[in-house]
Amino acid sequence: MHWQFTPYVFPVAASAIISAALALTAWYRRQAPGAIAFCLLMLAVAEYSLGYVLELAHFDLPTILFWDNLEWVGATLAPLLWLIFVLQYTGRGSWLTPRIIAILAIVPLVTILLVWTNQYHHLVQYNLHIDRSGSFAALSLTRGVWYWVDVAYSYVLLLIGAFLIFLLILTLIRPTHLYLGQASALLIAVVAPWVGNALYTFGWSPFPKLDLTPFAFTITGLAMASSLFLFRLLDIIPMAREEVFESMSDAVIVVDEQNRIVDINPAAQRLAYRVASHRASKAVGGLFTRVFAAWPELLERSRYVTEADAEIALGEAEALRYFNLRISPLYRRMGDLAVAGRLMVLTDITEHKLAERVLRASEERFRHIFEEAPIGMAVVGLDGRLLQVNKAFCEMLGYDEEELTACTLSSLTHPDDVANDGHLLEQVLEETNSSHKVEKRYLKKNRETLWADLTTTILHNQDGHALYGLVMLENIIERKRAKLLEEERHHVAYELHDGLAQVAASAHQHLQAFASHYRPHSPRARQELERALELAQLSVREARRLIAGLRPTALDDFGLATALRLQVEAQRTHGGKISYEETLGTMRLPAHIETTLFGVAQEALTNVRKHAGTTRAHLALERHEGTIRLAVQDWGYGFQPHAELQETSSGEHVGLREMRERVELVGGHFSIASQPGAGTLVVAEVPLPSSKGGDNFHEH
Amino acid sequence: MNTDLLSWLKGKPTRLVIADDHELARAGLRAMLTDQRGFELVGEASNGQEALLLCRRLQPDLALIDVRMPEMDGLSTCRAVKQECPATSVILVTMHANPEYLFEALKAGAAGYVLKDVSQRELISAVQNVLHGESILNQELMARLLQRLARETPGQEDLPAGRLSPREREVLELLTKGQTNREIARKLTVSVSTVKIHVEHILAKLGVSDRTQAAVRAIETGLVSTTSME
Repeated sequence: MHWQFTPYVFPVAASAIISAALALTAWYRRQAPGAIAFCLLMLAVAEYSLGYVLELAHFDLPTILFWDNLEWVGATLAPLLWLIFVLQYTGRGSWLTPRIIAILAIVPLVTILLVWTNQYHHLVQYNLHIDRSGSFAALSLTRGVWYWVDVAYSYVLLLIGAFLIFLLILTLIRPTHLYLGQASALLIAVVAPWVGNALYTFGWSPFPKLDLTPFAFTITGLAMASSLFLFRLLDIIPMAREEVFESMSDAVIVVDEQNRIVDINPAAQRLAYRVASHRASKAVGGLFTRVFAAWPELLERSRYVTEADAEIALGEAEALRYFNLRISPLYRRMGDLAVAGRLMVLTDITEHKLAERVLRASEERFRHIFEEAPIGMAVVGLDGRLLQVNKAFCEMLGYDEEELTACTLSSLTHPDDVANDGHLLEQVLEETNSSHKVEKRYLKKNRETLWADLTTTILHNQDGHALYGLVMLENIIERKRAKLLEEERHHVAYELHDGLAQVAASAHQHLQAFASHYRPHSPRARQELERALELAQLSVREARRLIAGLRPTALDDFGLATALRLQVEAQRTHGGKISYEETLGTMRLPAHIETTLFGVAQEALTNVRKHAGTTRAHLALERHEGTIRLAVQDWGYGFQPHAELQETSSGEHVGLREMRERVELVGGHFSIASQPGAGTLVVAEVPLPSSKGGDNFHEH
Repeated sequence: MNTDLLSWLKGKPTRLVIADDHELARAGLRAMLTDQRGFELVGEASNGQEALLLCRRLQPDLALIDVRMPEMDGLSTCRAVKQECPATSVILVTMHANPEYLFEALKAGAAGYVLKDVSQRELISAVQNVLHGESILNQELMARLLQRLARETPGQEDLPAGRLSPREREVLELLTKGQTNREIARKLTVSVSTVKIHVEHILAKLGVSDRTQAAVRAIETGLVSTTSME
């Protein structure tokens, strides 16, 4: 082998090394689009350069020819790899089906084949000899037909790649000047191989015998590398950015210093022209104020504003839409920080806005319900402090809202009830998800007593931790009054019966006894006596009338079983088909139990008549050991007992609730079983006190 | 034999017990009944229990019992007295005039009831009528209540009906329809005194103290068929 030395070796070797290094770098980033093609391209260039280094280092024809032939592999593949890289990099990788690649590879492969078989046909080159006229031994030859075919083909591929890169550069520089560096680098990368190859091929080079193409490709590699590292070419995917920009639902507008539209996306165009479909970008280059003339509000809000983040409403009535308008200044990348334009982004927040409005309306509604509820309501912290109170609550206690929210519930409690108060919250807290109801007295601001039903419900968060209590306060003064009235009537009836009536009857009897002993002789005296007797009898009758009007006398005189039978019979005469069955007989129960159960039966039978839509019912009164069980069954409409017991609006439900309360007051248990369409069963069970305790509790 | 009636006929005074929790009421009754020929007030009770003890001890001909009393109410006392002293007739004293009261009273074994503001004449005639085996009740009302009783308590008790003569049965049947002795006499074309004798025998044979309870008993035991009541 014969070696020669020429300084040209250094730049070519450098080119090989740089290309190899770039290939390696690209390999590490092979996930990026086009990175693998770039890697192969750089490998091809490296191979080309390495072959050339070795060609330059020798001066005997066979060796030079061998390396030269080897160079052809990289040289002819480089344009193809370049095109593949560009296609992938610009987001057109999908064009590259295996079939297309195979077709594109035909010419380079034929070239390689022809190069290595050139001595038989000289289609690529002929008249090969060593030219030693220069500073180094160079291969001198005459180009054959296929050589030109290959060059032409390579140029076409390079041209297509260059065109695509130019397109990319256009999209990059259009919106801002941010990508100028990247774009410049790409420009150099495109132009370099052409210049280099053209200089060599057409003999314009200052070094006529030196092939400048590998140098050129190295420059391309360097430019690409600068894009890669300085401008993060392979990290930022321009095409993806473009696609996002084009397809995003937010309207994006870029204007320059003169308020001219530099870039606008389809969403913004649809907004500008009030159309649903994407129109050609005739807006670009137009004045922002003219293009968006349809939206004076937008123009108003964006005028002279370089930075903003605000909500605006566009359009009116049905077509009203809400947008979030963000304006940010765009600065030149190079040089000073002068504002180069503005970026405007309009995000449609109508749906969000409407949802927010619905939510607010719902909140408002609930607040209103809370505020206007006819029963007193309050939200109580776990420390017992009132956090929120409604109107009725304030009215019931006579304080205003500010006074109430400063104090605790127990500070309002009537002094006599304070002792029981402390346990209440604890009690409710222990039972999760339950509410607790008690009758309590409160002290109003004017020191009057408020009789109320207090229902406390603890509200929990999703984890089951108690958050606060909801307190409902119901003024039960009416109920209390009714009860007092009932008691009063009982008392008055008793007093009348045992007092006044007895006195009157006795007076009547004594008068009669007197009359029989001392019969008056004068007609006048007889008349007076008769009158006195009449009046005495009349006063007994008056008393009787009053007593009967105050209370059912049958209950007091005959006991529960009989009184109920009389009740049933009274309803039967009005067409009720009520059956009655009792195992109590003549047994008398403590008066308050008799009164309670009688009241329950009366109420239940009234409900059957009024609400069940039937006249058929069964009343049963049984004694089981120490318990009296009263059951009223009907076969009428029925209802949902839970709903009925909780709602306190209509009269019949108040009736049900009161029945329960009355039964519970005598230590009993009250239950309702009902289903719509399946009738209703009302059961009251009351335990009997031990017989020693009862006063008129006797069984015969 | 109705010994009480006989004793009365023999001129022996009728022995009475009154029970009322009000002293005033007792005093009123006492004032109306004492010093009346043929009546002797042998005891006063201020509640049901006392009345029962008194009747048990004294076996009076008749007890006037207030419906509403502590310890044991009037109806319970009436039942207890009738069980322990079947020969004692009971008249309940009540504030309220009500068919229901009467019905309950009949079932409890009472001969009838008087109101608290009863006149002296009415009271005395009521007591006398009961002891004479006469009805003290309105005829129509009596008939209706007995019909109802027949409906509610179909005869179950087995009483040797054979002991009643056919004539007595006839009288009993008419009696349960609420007819007076006079009406029965006209119907059977016998004298009133003959009917009285029959009634006396019926009371004795049925072991009841008065005419009302004879009718009640007849129905309760099925001596008089329900159909004949209609």
